[in-house]
Amino acid sequence: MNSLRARLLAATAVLLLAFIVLTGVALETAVSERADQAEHDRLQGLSYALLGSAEITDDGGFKLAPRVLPESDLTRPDSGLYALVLDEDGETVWRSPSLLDPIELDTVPAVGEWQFMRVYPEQGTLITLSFGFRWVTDAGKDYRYTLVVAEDASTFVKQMQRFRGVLWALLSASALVLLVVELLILRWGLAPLRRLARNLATLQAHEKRRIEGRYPDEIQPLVSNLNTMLSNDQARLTRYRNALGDLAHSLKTPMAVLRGLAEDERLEENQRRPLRNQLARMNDILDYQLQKAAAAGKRSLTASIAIAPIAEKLGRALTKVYAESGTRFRVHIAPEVKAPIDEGDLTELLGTLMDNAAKYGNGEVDVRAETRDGDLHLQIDDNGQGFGDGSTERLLERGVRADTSREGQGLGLAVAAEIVRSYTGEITLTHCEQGGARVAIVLPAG
Amino acid sequence: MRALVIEDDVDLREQVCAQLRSDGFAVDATGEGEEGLFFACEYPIDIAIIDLGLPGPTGLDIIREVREAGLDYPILILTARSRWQDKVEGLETGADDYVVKPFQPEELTARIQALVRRSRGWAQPKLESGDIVLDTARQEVFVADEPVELTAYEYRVLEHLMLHAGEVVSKTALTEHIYEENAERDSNVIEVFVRRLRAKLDPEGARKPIETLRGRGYRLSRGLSSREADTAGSTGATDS
Repeated sequence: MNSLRARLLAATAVLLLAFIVLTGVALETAVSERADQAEHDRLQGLSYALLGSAEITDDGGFKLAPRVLPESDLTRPDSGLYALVLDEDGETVWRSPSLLDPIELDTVPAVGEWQFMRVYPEQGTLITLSFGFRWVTDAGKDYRYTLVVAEDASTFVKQMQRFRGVLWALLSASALVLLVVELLILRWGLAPLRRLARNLATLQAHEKRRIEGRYPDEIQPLVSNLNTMLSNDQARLTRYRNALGDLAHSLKTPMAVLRGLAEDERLEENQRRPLRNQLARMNDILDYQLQKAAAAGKRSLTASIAIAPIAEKLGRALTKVYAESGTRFRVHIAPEVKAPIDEGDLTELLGTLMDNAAKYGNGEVDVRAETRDGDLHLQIDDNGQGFGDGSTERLLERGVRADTSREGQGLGLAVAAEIVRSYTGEITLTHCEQGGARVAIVLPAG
Repeated sequence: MRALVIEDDVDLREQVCAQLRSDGFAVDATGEGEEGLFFACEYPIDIAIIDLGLPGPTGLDIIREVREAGLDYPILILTARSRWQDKVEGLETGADDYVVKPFQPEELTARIQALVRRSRGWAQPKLESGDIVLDTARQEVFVADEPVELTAYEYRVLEHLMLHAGEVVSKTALTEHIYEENAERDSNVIEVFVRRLRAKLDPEGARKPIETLRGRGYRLSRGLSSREADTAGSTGATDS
């Protein structure tokens, strides 16, 4: 149950079910009671009418002429409406012509009391109303009787069953309609959240770092905060990099002066050499630490950028730098290849590796990139001598160079490895088919 | 060759200038972006070395203005920022190469000379015209494989003529490219330099490598020797 919609829907369904059942039961009870009451009243009226027409003989006989019976049904045999009178001993003293078999009651009401109950003879159900009464004759004799009026309940039961069927059918239908409406309400109500989720997802697929659009009041603060966070993040990184750049500038210009002094021929060679070496060391440390500090690394919600334009830009720039050797930089990257990586980091990574490839290669540098299962695969090949044997792991450590005959900072691969690590990626140094060096990088998605 | 150095650090600027002068360049230098921009647009420069981190108009601003003004001499940037984004920005703006501080002086020289040669369409460090060979890397001149001793000014005149071999170079242009802006100038001295050059390069007066075109200037014959840059045309290899 990991979706808001499923949760709300489940909760609503349970609530709706409980409501429908309770409503159904309540309605059914109310209607059934009302029907019983009506039946009770009808039978009571009938009882009064019968009592009004009755005569008791002095010997306790009960007389009720069929023509004075208040309901014609009482005279028609087995009509469904019956009446009988029991004496004190439970013996039938009178019964309506309609009644063929006597009705047996388990209990009889006390004198002056009414007893409304259902009895279940062999067939069907009877609704009975009994009334206990005392009759004092003119001769002063006192008799105790019970009047029982009964009606066949089958019609009543059928009516109630029909009512119940209609009731539950209507309730179920309305429950279904309500559920569908609820579904629509949820769709509509949760639409802004879906839009936000979609925008967050596309944030990584597009080259922007901002969630666009206006959201409902409940979500807007979240969106605004996210946007502020994203822009602050970028601004902080830019400020940080500028500060590092200024630091580099303020340190490296004096170092350049000292480096120039190290060539001053008025100094002894044994004075110049340590000066050169120490300056080179300082420079290496400074470069490595500055590069490391300036790497943005993996961040959440980094916008995806296209790889090809950056590789091509670097290719153009490096073509100028390597014009003397005529090195050719070939970029084989489809325009749709994108990855969520900071532009500065990617420029640094590709620049360092393409420069390395040009420096140690033999005039040809090939850059490839593709995405497989969301992971970005980068590959930089040159046509030089390759990395040599067994030293590739050491090359990725800082400050180690395989080919010390060429000038350069010797930090390129270590810097690249540092950037790749900050994206929890992998960097592998191998050989390409033609024997030149190949640097293969995998940057995982997300 | 005339070089412009724009670098705000006095010590570094003087070092670079001294080095360029010893490499045979006439050097104009400034530490002000504003002044640098003026020099870069107004002086007949063969190469500019520009620091990116200048106060006032930045190095990038200057490069942009220079390229917008249609000037296509090579520009080398000096930068303390070793990040590729900064380097690429400089190169995309119109610079031709970069050197990251701190640099080895020889590396700077090598890059500058390569840029100058390429801008004149020469693909290799040795300029040749007939049997005259000028090695820009070692600043040596040979005639028929025999070394010839030249003074700094004679060297500059010969280098300029060789880089523009086959073209007519006016006395004014020669003066402008071998003298710094605030140097005492006398165009008559050019005649003296040319006369001395002729005497050193062609003591017998048999080949006459430097032609005088009255009222127009001088022309060094292209010679018979192969000039690889011909394949690249004479417009120079400078991208802008």
